[in-house]
Amino acid sequence: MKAHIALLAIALALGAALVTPAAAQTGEGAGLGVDVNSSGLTLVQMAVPDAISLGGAPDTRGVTEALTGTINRDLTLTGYFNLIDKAGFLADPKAEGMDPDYKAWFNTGTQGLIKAGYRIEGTKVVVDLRLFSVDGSARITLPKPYDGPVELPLEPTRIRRHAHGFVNEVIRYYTKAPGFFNSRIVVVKRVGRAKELFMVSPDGLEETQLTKSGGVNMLPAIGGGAIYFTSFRAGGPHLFKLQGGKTTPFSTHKGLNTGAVLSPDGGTVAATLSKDGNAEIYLLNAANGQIKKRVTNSWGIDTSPTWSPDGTRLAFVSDRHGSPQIWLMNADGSNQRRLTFQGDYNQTPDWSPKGDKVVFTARDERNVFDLFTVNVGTGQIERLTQNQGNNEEPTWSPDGRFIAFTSTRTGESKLYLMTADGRVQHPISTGKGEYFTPSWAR
Amino acid sequence: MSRHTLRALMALALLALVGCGGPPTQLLKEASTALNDAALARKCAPEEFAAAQAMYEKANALAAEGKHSEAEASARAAKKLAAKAQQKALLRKEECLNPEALKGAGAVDPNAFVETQPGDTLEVSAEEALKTVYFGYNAAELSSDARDVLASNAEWIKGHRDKVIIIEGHCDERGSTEYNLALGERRALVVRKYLGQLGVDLDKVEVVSYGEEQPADYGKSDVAFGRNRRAEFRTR
Repeated sequence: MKAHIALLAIALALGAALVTPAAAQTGEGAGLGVDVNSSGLTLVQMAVPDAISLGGAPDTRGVTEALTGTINRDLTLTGYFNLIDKAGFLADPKAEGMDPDYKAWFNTGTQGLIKAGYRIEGTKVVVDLRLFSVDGSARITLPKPYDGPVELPLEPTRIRRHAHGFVNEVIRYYTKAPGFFNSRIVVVKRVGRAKELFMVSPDGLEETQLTKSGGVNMLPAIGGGAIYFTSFRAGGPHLFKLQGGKTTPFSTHKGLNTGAVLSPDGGTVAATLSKDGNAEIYLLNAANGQIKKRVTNSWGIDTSPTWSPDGTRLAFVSDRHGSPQIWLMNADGSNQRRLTFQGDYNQTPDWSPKGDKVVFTARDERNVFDLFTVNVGTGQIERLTQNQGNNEEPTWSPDGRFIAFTSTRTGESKLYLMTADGRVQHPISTGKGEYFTPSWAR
Repeated sequence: MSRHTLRALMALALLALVGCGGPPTQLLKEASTALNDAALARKCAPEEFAAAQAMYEKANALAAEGKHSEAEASARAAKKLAAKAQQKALLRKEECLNPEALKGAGAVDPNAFVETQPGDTLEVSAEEALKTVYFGYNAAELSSDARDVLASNAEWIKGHRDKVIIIEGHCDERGSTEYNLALGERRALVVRKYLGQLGVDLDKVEVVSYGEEQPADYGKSDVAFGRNRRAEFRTR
């Protein structure tokens, strides 16, 4: 009974967040094709026919895939949309061109329609992406440059970026907040015996290797135009700062120097140092790594700090009560209190950009690692993953509506994306090898 | 003042008098004679003889420093040790003075035929001498096995004061990358502290944590994980 009420509450909360123009409509066709995902969220029925040629040279460079493929994949990853099967289309997308036969699409059961057209001219391509409200029988005007034809270089990467930007606006139209598909996730990948930093797009299709040290580089965090990371390249675990293609030592005290995270105001880095005997959390000057203040002082391990979005507090891991747990403190080190009391192995906290929750990794009674959130105010715990291998190292999307994480559900540790409630989960990494400790730029 | 206290004080005063009563010349002479008498021990019970000799030298040194009561105790001990060494030497006399006679015909010492591999050194290398110690899950406590290993490592380290010793802390792959770095360091620090308790000079003992980054075994079994939760030794 309790579970039912909780589900209902979640459904109501999420339903309110999702503004669907169709939901307000009544009369003919109302309720037609309406789907609900497992969160109780009303899904937008969306049709995305293949991109059509608007003249010019034939598509030999994968333009159709870069447009239609990207849009389909992005829409699916969010869990906000139900994509209508092409076999069920009543309209002929090619014949009708860039302006839809609303009645045919309406009878297909779709609420939204995305049309893509392109014209290849030499090394350029003109791309035209359009969003239509089928039940409103109107084209939706999106902000520039997503409201009509745009000329782009004939490169799949560049075309995909435009498609991502368009989807971000489609998501804004339906949910009041834009999507995140042009943001980036910094992640560690195993390369032979080495571990190197990579930057991955949230749809997983683009990967850029950032370091080529041949050693162990790890725990990256991006902020203020720089990537802070931990590396053994100069002996023990030290902190480095990668900015403008250059890597410089950031903190190289004796003992541990690990896990730097930048404060929301960009002025301070929180990190773990053990120069005074055991792992403690310090605040460092983000520009030069100078120590500003030590903010923990316990016999136990204090590590893995994460900033609240307003920068006034930190959540962190401490085993001062005997097992690793999530703790909270003010950013000056005062008012330290334990936040999690369930389980005996809670780690890798990441504070939601919305401020209300901290997501973390917990080892459960079967020695399996899964992801949970804890409400900062009430301490209430919610499980996000279950029976899908080990799930670890969560990181929030910039809008706080999604979480990227690593999972061993298919064997190797790969990158996954899920909604903040864990109900829609998709693999996103497409490269070979194992992925570790993702950190989403935000 | 009670009678007991009074007696105790008088005893102390007496002890002090004896202590300040000049060097134990007579006892030192007796110890020296005992050593001379133990000539057989020098050959046939060399360790025991050396111990007696060392004790005699210590007694002399203490006497020279004016620590007369301690010198007296050491001289007495040296005399006893010398006598013991001689006793032992007499027991081993036959074997010691005529070794071939006891071994029998065609006696062969197999150890004399063990091939020394090219590049082998007589010195036990640091890698061989300094053994790895292992830990329980999420634990940094030393088992009795680990303590035995460290006792032997400590002896080697004490005999190689020119070396810088680096203790590497490692973890299995379970748990977060960052927490495991701290846990690996905790393991290395526990080992370092224990070496200190065993009398190792810690000035030249450093620690570094590799967390879960350098597994000894890339397997995913409990056995593999057990091999990875460890503190290894390196020298410089």
